[in-house]
Amino acid sequence: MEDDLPISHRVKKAFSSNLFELPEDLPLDSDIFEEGLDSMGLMQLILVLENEFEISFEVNDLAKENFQNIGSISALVTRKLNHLAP
Amino acid sequence: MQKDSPVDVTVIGGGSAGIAAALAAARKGVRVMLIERSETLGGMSALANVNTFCGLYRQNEKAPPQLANKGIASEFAQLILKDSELTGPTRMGKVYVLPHTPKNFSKIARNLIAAEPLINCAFLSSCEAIEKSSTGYCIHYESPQKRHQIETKSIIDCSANACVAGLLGGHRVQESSNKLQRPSYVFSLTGVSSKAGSDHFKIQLSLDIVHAIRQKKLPEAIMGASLRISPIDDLCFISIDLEASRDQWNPNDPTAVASSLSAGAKLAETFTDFLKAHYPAFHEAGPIQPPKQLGIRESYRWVGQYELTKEDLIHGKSFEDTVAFASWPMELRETHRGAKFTFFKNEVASIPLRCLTSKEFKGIYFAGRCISADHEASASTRVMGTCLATGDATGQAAAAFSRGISDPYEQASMINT
Ligand SMILES: Cc1cc2nc3c(=O)[nH]c(=O)nc-3n(C[C@H](O)[C@H](O)[C@H](O)COP(=O)(O)OP(=O)(O)OC[C@H]3O[C@@H](n4cnc5c(N)ncnc54)[C@H](O)[C@@H]3O)c2cc1C
Repeated sequence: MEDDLPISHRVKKAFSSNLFELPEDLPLDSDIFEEGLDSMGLMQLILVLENEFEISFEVNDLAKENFQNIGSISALVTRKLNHLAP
Repeated sequence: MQKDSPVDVTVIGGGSAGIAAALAAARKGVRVMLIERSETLGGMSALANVNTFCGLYRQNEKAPPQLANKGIASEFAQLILKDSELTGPTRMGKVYVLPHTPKNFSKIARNLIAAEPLINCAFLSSCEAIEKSSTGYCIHYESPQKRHQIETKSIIDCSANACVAGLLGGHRVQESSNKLQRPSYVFSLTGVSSKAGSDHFKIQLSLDIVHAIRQKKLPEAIMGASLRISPIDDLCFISIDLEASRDQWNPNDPTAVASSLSAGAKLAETFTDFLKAHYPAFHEAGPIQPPKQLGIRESYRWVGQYELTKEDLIHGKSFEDTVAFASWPMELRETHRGAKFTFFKNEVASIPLRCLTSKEFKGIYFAGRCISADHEASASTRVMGTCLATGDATGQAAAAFSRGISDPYEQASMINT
C-alpha cells in the first residue's frame, strides 16, 4: 500500500510527479535547489506535500533548511505526522 | 488598396521565430516581406516582458555551456552576450538561460534586419486574408492608413497562433482549455536592490508568501508569482502566472484576454505593495511598468507533415530531415502554481523540417510557437532559443522553395544544422 512506503520514498515520488523527475539514485542529503528547484517550485512543493500527507505546515516549519533536501523534508513530514498521531 | 511589389517569401509575425526566418531567407538571396502587427520586433519578449532566452544551450549541467544550434540562434546568443556585457549564461539547476532585456533584443533584431537590403518590414500591420494566386499566394494586410496586397511565392507563419492556417483553412489545433498553458502577467520595477535577486531572498520570500496566503494577507493567486533581478540593467521582473478562468480559458477570446490582463494588473499592485511594505530591498522601488500585452504561452498550433511528440523529445528520435535542435525541458504550466519539467534523455532532441511544413499547401511553413508539435513537445519547442532555430530553418526552406526546390528532405539536406 502507498502509505506503507518509507516517507522519503513518498516525498520523492510526490516531488517527481509534480515538479520534475529526480535522479533515481539521488542521495537523501543532496540539495534539491541544486537539482533545479526554484522559489516558485518551492511554493508548489509545500502545497503538494500538504495534500499528499494531509498535514499543514506552520510558520516555524517554513524555513529553508527544512526544504533543502529529500532527507530534511522527510524528517519534517515525519515530525508533522507524529504530531498528528493520536 | 495598395499593391506592394511581389516577394519570394512573406513572414507573418516579428517575434523570435519571424526575425530569424526573415534573416535566413534574405541571406539566401530572396526578397522578403515581414509583416508585424505591433510597432516593434521581438514578439512576446517586447510585448509581454519575457526576459530570459531559454533553449539556446544544450542540457548539460556538468559541462560548460554549449550552444544547441548553429546559425542565427548562435549569432543571437553571441550578440546578446556582447550587448549585455555578461560573460556567459546563467545556470538554473540543470539548464542554462541567457538573461536579456526586451529592449536590447528588439534593438539587436532591428539592426540585423536593417542590414539586409532584401527585407522590407511592415509594422502596425495585420495579416487579414490570404488567397491562392497564380504565383503562389496573395496576402491582404492592413496598416493604419491603408489596405495592402502583396504577391508571394511562399509564406512562413510566425504568428505564434497559426493564423495562416486559420486564413487558408489549414489544419490547426488548440489544446483543451483546462490543459492549455496558463498565461502570465509580467511587469518590471526599477530601484529594487540586487539583494532581492539572491536565492536566499527568493526562497525566504516564497515561504513568506505561503504564510501570508494562510493568514489571508495575500490572495491565493500570488502563488503564481516569481521574481528575477536582471543582471543587465537592475530591473526587477516579476511574473504572475494566472489561473485565467480555468476551464474556460481561451487565448483567442479578446474578452478573456482583457479580463486576465486586468486580473494580472490588480495582482501586480497587491504584490508590489506587499513587497514594499515588508522588504527593505523594495523600499525604493519605482512604479509598476506594465507589459504591453498579456503573456500568452500557448494557443493554436499547426498540424503539419509530421507532429513532434513528447516521446520523440525524451528519447531523442532521429530524423532524416532534422533542421533544428530542441534543448529546453518540456515546461508545462497547466496551473498557476508553477511548472512541471520533463527532461530529455540526451542533451538535445531533433526537430524535423516536416514539423515546420504544411501538409496541405505548397510553400507554407511555420516556425516558433505554432509548429506541429503536441501539447507536451511544444512546451519545449516554444522557448525563444528554439524559435530562433526553427525560424532560421524555415527561412532557408522557404528560400529554397521559391527557387523551385520543394521536397522537404532535399531542402533539409541544404540546411546547415
Ligand atoms: C509569460 C511567459 C514567459 C515566458 N518565458 C520564457 C523564457 O523565460 N524564455 C524563453 O525562451 N521563452 C519564454 N517564453 C516563451 C516565448 O516567449 C514564446 O513562446 C516565443 O516568444 C514565441 O516566439 P514566436 O516568434 O513564435 O511568437 P511571438 O514571440 O509571440 O511573436 C509573434 C508575433 O506575431 C505577431 N502577429 C500575430 N498575428 C499576426 C498577424 N495576423 N499579422 C501580423 N502580425 C501578427 C505578434 O504581434 C507577435 O509580434 C515565455 C512566454 C510567456 C508568455
